[in-house]
Amino acid sequence: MPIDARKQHVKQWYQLYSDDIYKYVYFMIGDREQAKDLTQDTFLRAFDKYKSFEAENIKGWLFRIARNLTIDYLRKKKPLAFFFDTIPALKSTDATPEQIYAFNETEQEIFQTLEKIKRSYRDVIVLRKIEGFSIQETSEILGWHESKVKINLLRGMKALKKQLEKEAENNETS
Amino acid sequence: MRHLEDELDENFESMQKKVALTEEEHEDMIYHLSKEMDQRYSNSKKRMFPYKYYVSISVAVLLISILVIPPSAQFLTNELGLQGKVPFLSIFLGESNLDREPDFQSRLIEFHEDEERKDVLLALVNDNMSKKEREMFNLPSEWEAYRIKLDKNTKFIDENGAEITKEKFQLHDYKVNVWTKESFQPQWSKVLREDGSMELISDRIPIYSATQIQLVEMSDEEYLAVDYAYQEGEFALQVYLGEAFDDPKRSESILVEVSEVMDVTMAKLVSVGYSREPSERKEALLGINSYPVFLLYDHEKLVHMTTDLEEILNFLSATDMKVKRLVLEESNEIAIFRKAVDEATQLPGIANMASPNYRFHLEGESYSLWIDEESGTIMNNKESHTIYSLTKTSVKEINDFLKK
Repeated sequence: MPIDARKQHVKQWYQLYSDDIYKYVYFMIGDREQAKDLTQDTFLRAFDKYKSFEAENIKGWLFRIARNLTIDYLRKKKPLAFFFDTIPALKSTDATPEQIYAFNETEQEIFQTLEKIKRSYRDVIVLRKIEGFSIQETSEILGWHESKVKINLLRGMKALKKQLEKEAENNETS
Repeated sequence: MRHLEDELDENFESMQKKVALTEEEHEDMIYHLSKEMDQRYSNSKKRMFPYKYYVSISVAVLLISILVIPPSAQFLTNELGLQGKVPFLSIFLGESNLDREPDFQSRLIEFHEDEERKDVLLALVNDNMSKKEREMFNLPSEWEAYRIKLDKNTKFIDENGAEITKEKFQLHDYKVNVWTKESFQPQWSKVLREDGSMELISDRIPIYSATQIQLVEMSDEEYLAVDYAYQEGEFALQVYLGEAFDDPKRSESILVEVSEVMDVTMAKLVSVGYSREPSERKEALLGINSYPVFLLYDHEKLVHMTTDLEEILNFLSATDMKVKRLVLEESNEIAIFRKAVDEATQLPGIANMASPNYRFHLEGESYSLWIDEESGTIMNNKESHTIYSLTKTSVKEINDFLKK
């Protein structure tokens, strides 16, 4: 197919889905500039892999690409931590989300706590609770059974709440 | 606990609204995206032969094989009872080695995304998985799979034995017969990490170079089954756009219409494929003669083919007699539903309910509605884990509307 049409399609996908993809990557890695790069890479990868998107739902396919790139990025950044699935996402030198996106205090706490829980929990919480994907869509993006999505969401939310309570206690005692 | 969960949900909603790219950031990204796409396109035109790496490997393998392979090949051919049928050396001397049976039959799956390792494919012989599990990219704990390295000497042939180009070969989603350069040993490999996470350890999969790969004839039934839905009660839609594929405006409007159909029938339509046109074989088998065309499959056959997407929507709506689609047009009708949604109160617990009685669209959102004379429940289809109870007044107003 003409290259212009292919470019045009990718640009349309960008218009439709770049915000959602950016949010996902940002919540996964907590680094604004890097999230922008990975969002852009997602669409470039879609351009490169254009032929292979047949038999796919485009948004889900783009999210799978974004997730793979995010995992690759985290893996390169912290290979050992990746192995143990406990990569702290937030870069200490990055401007805080509070500064960038005017998060209030609670949101800031949630954001930071989210970055401390297991990557697989964070993945499912971001997709279900922030991106608003259904269980079925999430299972397609993550390549998990729907039951695994449900269990990980329950466990992830539990872990998030526990961590938030722990942080609150720490703040009170200090 | 419930209280905290509600609070978290509210916070998530507020956070997701705040995290956004600015207009300048978008402009900047679009500019770079565009530039990078142009560059990649011109690079791909220049890139003639990305096989340097494999050529040097082939030379090394050739030298080693001449020195080492004959005694072991002799041993193996004796072991396998293939004396005289496996002229191992001939591969390395450039003769064809295709008289023998293929080493295995499998599906080939693209394995590595990066350019340098693109020519290593995953040959999946057996994974004991269902089609759905496979297409969801689930991984079994153990499978019979091999990494297959293509190189410039790999010969591609069609079902009838005629040589075809690699590009033509790649257009097919067939099973294939594979002949390996090295002596082949069937083997099941454990590829997952012991902790149960879905990280594939690819190094555990044996690697072979392919001498020859042949497309395997598929029956018409098998050929079409690739597009079927996974299981009973589900549907898969395949859209062939034809020339509209090259027209961004037309293809976008079709894309939007298809996503609306998916939205309304989300529980039933499990996958949507979107491509320019079918293979010649599929075109002939299904008698497709005009585009854009929409093909709806259930788990065992093509159930509807049409050039009018509305028919697909009607078909899907009709298959579930319980679910009716409400079309809200008048402003007073919209107001009734707007009020019902606004005043509904969230119910505790995770929703796990039967098919709804109705579906409706309101201000860009799609909702499911369960209603009888006494009570009513709604769910935003995007938030299928949460349901809301309607007020008594709304139940009455909606029932009155439905009776009309």
